[in-house]
Amino acid sequence: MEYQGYLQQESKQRKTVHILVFFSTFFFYFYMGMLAHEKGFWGAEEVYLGEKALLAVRGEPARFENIGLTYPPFPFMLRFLPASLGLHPYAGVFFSSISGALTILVLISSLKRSRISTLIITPVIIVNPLFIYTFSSGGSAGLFLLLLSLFTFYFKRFIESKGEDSFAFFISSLILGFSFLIRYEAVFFLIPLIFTLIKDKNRWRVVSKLLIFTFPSLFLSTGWTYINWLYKGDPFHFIHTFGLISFETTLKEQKSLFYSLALAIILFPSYLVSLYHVARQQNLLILFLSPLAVALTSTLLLDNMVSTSYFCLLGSVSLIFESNLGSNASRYLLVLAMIAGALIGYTLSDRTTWGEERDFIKTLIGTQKEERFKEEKELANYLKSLQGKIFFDDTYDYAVVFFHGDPKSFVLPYQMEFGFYLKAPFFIARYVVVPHPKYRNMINENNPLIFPEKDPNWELVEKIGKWKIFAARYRKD
Amino acid sequence: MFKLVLSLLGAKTRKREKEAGAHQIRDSELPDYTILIPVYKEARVIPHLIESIRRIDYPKSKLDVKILFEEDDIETLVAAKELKPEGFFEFIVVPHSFPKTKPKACNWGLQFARGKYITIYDAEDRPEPDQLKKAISTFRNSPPNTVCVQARLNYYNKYENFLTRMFTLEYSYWFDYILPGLELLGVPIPLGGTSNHFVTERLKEIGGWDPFNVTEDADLGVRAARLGYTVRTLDSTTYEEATSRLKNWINQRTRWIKGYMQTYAVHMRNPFRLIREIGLKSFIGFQLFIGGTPFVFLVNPVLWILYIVWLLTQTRVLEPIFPPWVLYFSLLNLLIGNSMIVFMNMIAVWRRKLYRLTPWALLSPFYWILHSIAAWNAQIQLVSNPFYWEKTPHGISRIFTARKQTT
Repeated sequence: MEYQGYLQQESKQRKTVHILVFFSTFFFYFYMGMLAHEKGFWGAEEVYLGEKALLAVRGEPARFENIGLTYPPFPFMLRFLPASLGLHPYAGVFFSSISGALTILVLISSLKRSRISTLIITPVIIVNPLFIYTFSSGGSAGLFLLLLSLFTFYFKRFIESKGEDSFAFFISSLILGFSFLIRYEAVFFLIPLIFTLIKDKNRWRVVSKLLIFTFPSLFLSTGWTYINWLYKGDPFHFIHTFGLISFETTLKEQKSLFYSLALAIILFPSYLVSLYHVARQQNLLILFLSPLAVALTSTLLLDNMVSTSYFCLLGSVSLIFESNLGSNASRYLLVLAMIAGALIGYTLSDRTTWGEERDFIKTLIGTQKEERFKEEKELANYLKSLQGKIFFDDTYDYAVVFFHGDPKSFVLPYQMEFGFYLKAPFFIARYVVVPHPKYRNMINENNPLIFPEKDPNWELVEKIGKWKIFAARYRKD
Repeated sequence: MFKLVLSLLGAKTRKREKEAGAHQIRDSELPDYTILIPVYKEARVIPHLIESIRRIDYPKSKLDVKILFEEDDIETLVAAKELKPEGFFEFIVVPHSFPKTKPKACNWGLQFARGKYITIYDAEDRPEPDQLKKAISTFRNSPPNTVCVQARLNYYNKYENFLTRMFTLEYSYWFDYILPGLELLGVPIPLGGTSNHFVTERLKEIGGWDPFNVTEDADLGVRAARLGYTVRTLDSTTYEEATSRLKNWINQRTRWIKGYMQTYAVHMRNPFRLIREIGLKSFIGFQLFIGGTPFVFLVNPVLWILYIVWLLTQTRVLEPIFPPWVLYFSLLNLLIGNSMIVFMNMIAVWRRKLYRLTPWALLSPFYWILHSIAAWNAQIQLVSNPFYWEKTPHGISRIFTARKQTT
């Protein structure tokens, strides 16, 4: 009875610690995100997701397919409710911070000596600059990291149970499948991890494991191709149009993957500490190394380099494997490595290959001079003062609609009318906004005379940044 | 979604320690135990039945086995007598009257029961030998309002053909994942047809089985919940014979679905009273399980046909009756709902290590077609012949025949 009481008390204490960690982490990341917004930082993906969610729930007509069906749907879907309530400017940071708080919970749950480790490790993880960026910048990276951390946690449990823990297998397969709806590169995890499943004397058991492991990824990706076929007539529309809006720097433009990877390892030396202890167990080693294999595969196949924030997974994985460290000395070494990583992170913040990460950290520490999307915000504010429909191509200038907040004021490419009136927008809109011809834009391409002010149907009313705003000369509605 | 939550909960449950302690109970502490076995035209199975009961690990002096024969079924009675079973077997003849159903026979047997606990087995059942001891151990470690513990059911002829494979997948999923999930959620558990162990006094207090209900077990589970009693699951398996012939399968499933319809209709006569008695959570569980099961099977063919017509013709005629939100929900169900059920069937066999059955889960949609045929059959029968009991013949499995020849 006494022992039972002790266990109950300990479980209660652990619950309290977890609740405290959850809320303090959430508020910390949320505060950092809002602070960055206040200082002028907006993540490109955050804005893109927010704009498409606005089109989906407040567009004309409001339809699911307004999200474009190019990028995985779940991050858009999360934004639907806030967008319909007019809370879209806060939604990105809110969901990132929730993901952050949950990820930290997953990590501290996997620590062997939870009470001491929780107190030491939690703040060390939270303040790592890459974690702050991932969980405060409003993109989908935080959610992706949460699911991959959860997946690693459960799949490790399955491997360690020698295939007995059906719950862990069930949930990890499901989580991995679901991750595909957040980032396509999740499917690449299947490739290395299949090797952990095939080494088995029972042939039917191997077949069973492979089917269960791959089925959620297969049915969710097949479902996505079906939706693409249904709405776009092309089941592989998402592959053909992927990378149209590039949130991440391509290999051609930037330094190599290996530079990014090296930087990530410098930021997470804890990964090397855990690697040393996992190296002797083959299946665990494959799981441990899979984030690197996925980074390499997706870079080579998609020609799209994963951002340094993706390598936060290295930090996560090294903590999830903390229970495999042989001695207390190794655990202290891990903590020291985490602390060193966080400190290095701040000193190397301007070395990351991805500009947005750099800007985010610089904004927070106050060295960033340029405000992101400044011109878009100015244009959006100006457009709010206009009466009448605005003909606008938001393919690359999605931020204008996001900061404007009312998609009904625009005629945009997701609407059928946009295509009909592209050559003569004055039939449907009172205003047209065109950027400088050096920027890709459908309106310019179809009406090359508007921007040079040689089209008699349009009268220039304002110039903001790269854009010119014209009013229809013969339309007075 | 509901099934997914239940499956996750069910997958989390582990073998309970309290049942593992069953063997520590001394024989002198064991109470009398009644086993009711209703049989009808099952002369072929009788030797197998006697053998299965003999294998039960329980002091024979404390066993009270009652085989219930129908008055017009002389053949089975004679077959049983010829075997000259031991004294703890008792033959009871149920007088001929209507409705001629299994629950009516069980009610007849109940009045002669002398055990503190009572259980029901079908003639072809092969319970694990320590099941009665485990049941007692579970009762002792359960809350005082526990009226019944339900053992898991599975099949011994699982690899015989498509039907038996799919049946095994279905039962493994139902008893190994769904029922433990329901138990954890505190939602009434629809009892399985056999291997449910009761506290005899409480069963009498509830009023025994409804002789007019063709799934008397499901009805009994709800009635117990209405009186504030709970049902728990028992980590012991009874192996049965899965019906391997299509016609028999349809008949059996028709009866089960008809019984669910009856149970739903009976308890929903006063829905507010039902909510008051079992609580909102259980009420929702009742709607989804007892009401939802036949409803889904009935509606499925209509939706499949609509979908196939649309897929082949791309017609826009249906658009007015499918506003976007209906379309999105349907799409979600089509893609996620169906696939999730197939996935859950895949995982179902994992716990029993029946790995060879996993690929068969991919054929689940074809099995669902059979369910819908049975559901429509049940709907028609509910109107035309509501209390008719579709008897499922047993002892026709190839495995059973082979074993019989060997012995």
